[in-house]
Amino acid sequence: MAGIKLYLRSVQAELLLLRRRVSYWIILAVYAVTGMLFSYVFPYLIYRDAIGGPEAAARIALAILLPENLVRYSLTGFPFYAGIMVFIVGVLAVGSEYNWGTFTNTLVQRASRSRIMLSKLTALAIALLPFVAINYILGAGFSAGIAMIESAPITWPPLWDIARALALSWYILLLWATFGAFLAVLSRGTALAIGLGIFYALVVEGVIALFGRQIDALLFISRIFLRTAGYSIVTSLGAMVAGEGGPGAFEGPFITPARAAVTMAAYITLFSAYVVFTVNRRDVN
Amino acid sequence: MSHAMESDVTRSDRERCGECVVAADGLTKRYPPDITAVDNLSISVFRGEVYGFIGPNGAGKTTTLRMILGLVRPTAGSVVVLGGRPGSPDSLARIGAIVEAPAFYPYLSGRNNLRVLACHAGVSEGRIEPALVEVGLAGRADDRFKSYSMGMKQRLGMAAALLKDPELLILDEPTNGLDPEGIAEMRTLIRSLGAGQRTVLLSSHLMGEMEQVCDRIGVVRYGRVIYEGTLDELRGGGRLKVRARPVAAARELLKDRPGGVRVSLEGEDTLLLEAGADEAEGINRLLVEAGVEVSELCFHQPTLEDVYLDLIEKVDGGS
Repeated sequence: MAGIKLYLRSVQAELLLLRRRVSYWIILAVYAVTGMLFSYVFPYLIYRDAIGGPEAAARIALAILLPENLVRYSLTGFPFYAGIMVFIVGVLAVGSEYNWGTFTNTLVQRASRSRIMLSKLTALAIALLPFVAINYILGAGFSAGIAMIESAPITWPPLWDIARALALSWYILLLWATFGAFLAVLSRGTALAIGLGIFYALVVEGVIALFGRQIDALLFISRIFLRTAGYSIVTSLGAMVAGEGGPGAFEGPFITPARAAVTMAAYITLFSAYVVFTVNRRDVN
Repeated sequence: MSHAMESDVTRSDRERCGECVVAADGLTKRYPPDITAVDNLSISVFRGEVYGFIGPNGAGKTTTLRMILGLVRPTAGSVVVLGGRPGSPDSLARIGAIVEAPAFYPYLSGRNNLRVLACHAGVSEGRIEPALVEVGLAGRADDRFKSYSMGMKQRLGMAAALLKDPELLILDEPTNGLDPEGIAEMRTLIRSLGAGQRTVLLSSHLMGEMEQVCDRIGVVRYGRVIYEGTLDELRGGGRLKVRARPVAAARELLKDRPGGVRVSLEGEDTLLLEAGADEAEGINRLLVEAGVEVSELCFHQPTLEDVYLDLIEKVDGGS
């Protein structure tokens, strides 16, 4: 019991660090504002421009913005767009300790290194919840607003679907946040970690997936990518990811949702284990 | 993990330690490709004393302190801290430390920085305010750390070290960046902290400060301990300086004196005697009664800086 109590106090300390950090709130705000602009405002303006064109196309463009598609539509933003944002949060939460030299102080308190790193990862996992919540809360607000403007029916997805979507979204973000923590420990800082992570996500995964259409070996590699796992798992809730363009578009390859869940669990475990194990072993100079 | 760190504290370690709070034996730290930061270093710090760890920049002081705290693993050798393994939760719970420059979260206030550390240490948040008051930072505790002067940062580091009410305080250059008033306050604080059963291991290259607060010292050069003992042992018994005329006659008289003292000539008319202050009266009488004019007679105790520089010169000359 005493051990759990001490662990929870370390989590409390790490949550304080994240809660008081302005950059965390800035990333959350930028994510919320741009997310809504890209997901609802711009698509709605495009729909407005499309009125007068083919009626079917306009109807489809409007349909995805309505409350009944909240889950299917919102999920598309998590495997990549939200993922990149929380990847940065993950890097900052861990890598800044190296930049500021604060490990020298925290690691000479009573807590073991494993306890401190596990509490850091736990706090990071908790700090992802606002990213999930704000996306769905604002999405619900915007979709309801659009429905009212367009005099469309306000029909919400089943509660069970919403609950599963929230859980899946958090799971995807956890993958990216632990990836950030992993690169921060690997590079002992923030700048290189952010650079490497964004390069990997934007360039490496995209280019290899592109070549993977023609080279079998690369296709195999692209099936274990973070984005592949994320996009594949959201298809289990009918997320609109393939072939529809826009910010959530992903051209594949896809794997089964079950395999995606296992792949993600393996990555999260691998990244977390690396963080704890490496900080445990390394000298703190 | 090196064997030295991984294994439990052995019986021989415990016996060696006894009343020792820190017992380092043959500590060595090498960094690739061929840098030896600490080389077969052994020190003993006893309970209740203020131990000064002295040496020039780059001598290996901070690396040694990091090994004592478990932040750095030794390449060879072992260290027992408060009867346990360095870096273990049990020993860390009883140690307060500042290592190098105080490193805190810049966006947090001083108070919130201490809250973070108190949580990791499992210490009541009720300890924060007394620690802030003790170091004179209570008035600025709610300001962000990044707005602090170097002196205030040092004070916050000291408050952090005191949070756990530790048995052992490890302070690495605690007066860095402090103004003269701050240095004097820090000196008083360190003295008061080391007054009871608490042990203080203090690292610095400021000889004047160390001289005023330390009971024993260890001098480090090139990663090795070149002296360990009390300040008095290091300084020796002091010397009497005698200005007399004729100086040759005075020298003969003093050399032939019962008990004999070592006499050396310094300048044209000054002698240096290895004798205590209590012998000044007798020496003065001996010279005057023999017709020697004594124009100056004073006791001269070399400063820590004097003997430290002599020691360094000897080591460098011999290496």
